[in-house]
Amino acid sequence: MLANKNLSTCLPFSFSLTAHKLYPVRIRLVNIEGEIEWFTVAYVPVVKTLKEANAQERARVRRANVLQRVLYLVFRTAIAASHKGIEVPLGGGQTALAFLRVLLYICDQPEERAILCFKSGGTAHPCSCCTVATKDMVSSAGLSAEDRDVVQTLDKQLEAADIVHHGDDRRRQMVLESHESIHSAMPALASFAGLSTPPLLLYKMVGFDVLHVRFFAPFESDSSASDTSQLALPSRPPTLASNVSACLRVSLARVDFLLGFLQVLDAGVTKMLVRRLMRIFAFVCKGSKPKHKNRAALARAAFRRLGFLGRRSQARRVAPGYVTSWNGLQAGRACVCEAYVHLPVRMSVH
Amino acid sequence: METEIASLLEFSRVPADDQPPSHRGKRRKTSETGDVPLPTGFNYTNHSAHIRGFFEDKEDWQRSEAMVEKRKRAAPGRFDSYKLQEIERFALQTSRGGLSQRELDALYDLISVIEGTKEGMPHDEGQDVPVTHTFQSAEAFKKAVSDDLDDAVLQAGWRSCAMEEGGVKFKAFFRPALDLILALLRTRTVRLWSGDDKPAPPSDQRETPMQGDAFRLCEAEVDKLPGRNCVLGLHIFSDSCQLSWSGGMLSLSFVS
Repeated sequence: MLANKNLSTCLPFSFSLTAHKLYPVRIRLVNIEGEIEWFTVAYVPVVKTLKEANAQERARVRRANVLQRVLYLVFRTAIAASHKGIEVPLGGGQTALAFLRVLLYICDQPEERAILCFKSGGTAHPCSCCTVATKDMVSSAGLSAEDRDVVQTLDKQLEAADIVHHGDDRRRQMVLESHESIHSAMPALASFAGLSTPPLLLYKMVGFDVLHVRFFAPFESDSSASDTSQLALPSRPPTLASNVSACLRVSLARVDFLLGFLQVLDAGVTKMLVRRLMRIFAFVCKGSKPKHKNRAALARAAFRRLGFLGRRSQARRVAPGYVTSWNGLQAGRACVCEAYVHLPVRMSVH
Repeated sequence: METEIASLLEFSRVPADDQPPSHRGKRRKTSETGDVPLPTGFNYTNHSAHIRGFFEDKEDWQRSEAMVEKRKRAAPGRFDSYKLQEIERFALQTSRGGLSQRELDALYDLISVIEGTKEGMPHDEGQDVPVTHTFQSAEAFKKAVSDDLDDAVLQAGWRSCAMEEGGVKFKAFFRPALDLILALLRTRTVRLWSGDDKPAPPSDQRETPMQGDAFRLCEAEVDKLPGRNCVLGLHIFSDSCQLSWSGGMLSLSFVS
């Protein structure tokens, strides 16, 4: 018989030929030394919207529940091990207890909301990490928004899920959902130790991949926003010139919404965003030395990545090795909005 | 681990005293039995137990089964020589759309293996045995490939689970992550701490995930527990926008 390792490399290939529409979930153990390896652990069924009354809502609920149930099946024993620990031999007859912890969940933004059981659009609190109100996202008030409280939010999610399970007090359920922008479902991964227990990383574990969020592409290639400080100033200053950081956040929050609703951006739309953002880099990065000597050079560098995406962005069809350069995401991100602001800085550090 | 999960269900929750009111909507009634029995409510000791109890009550794991079923008189492992293994690998990796340039390379390699002329190839006892002697018909060949594939799926721990959600049935495929992690711990070189044999002191370095804030925070928490403890960090990648599409054009059956 073939060595199991050799044959098992053929397995995903075999699965892809069956008559199912599925998407894979892969994991990686960061403690492994040497080459980065990703392993497929699940194929989640794609849930279609059927022709029925209230079809969109029902499909959404089905989609969320199927995802949570499959995730729980995959990590069922790993969750138990995350609390109890597993014995690892150290040599010399000694052992250590190893505790599993989820450090990073790479996905796109719609899936982030599904994983955490948050409402995905038109909500009072659109950010998964902080409690910024929708109206404040376009003002400097958004900068002082508090982080989401993991324990408190989970309390309400579990209460709402229990209400759905028991089928009573619909009014209370709706109040909980609308007040916290949550769905009445249980986030399966929250049962992992370290996410709902200290250090409470549940809302900080999600990271966006380059090709999941097309907006990052321009920053990825020019390596830092600070490179643009010597560009010609725009003819008209930003609306909130007194608070440049807030201004950047305003622009990016809008992009965030765009991504949330459309998910896939046309290359044309992305280019337009790049050109608009370049105009405020000069304010944001004042005093820094630019890498590219003029705006045209910067745009060229920024669009280089887009050349690989084609007219309409598509996900790659190979294992996700391309996230390896994103070590900046390993610590999770502080906030949807802040991640956009700080990521270029982080990348320049690396 | 199963015992731990069972004990969790037993000891981390008690039935709630304040059961929800008996009034229920029209949809919860059936014509034959009247009221549908109300699910039992529980009080849990913590969030994690609550979530795990909720999903354990769905009994998805108990309903899951091995992904494929071995056929009667299955005989995996008949590709027992280097030559036969190469043929099997070729049979599994050839697509229906014709051979690409890369596949032509593979075919050439295969031919050179069959002829015994490939550079550096091992020469075992099966080298001189004709393939048609080992598999006397095309059917026997197909079954042997299928058996090997089923065997590999089972060895990798893949399972399938049928689940119903909102009146629609779905089938998911999965393998327990812990089994995979334990296998990796056995077969790979693993670094358990961010430092040499203990958590590293704080630094500004951020070159590997083990130097990340998340890992260090978890390490600090785990270090508070008695004994020698370490953290195994997981990254999860969900490619929800990439569908493994086929449309069922090629019938590759796992079950004979």
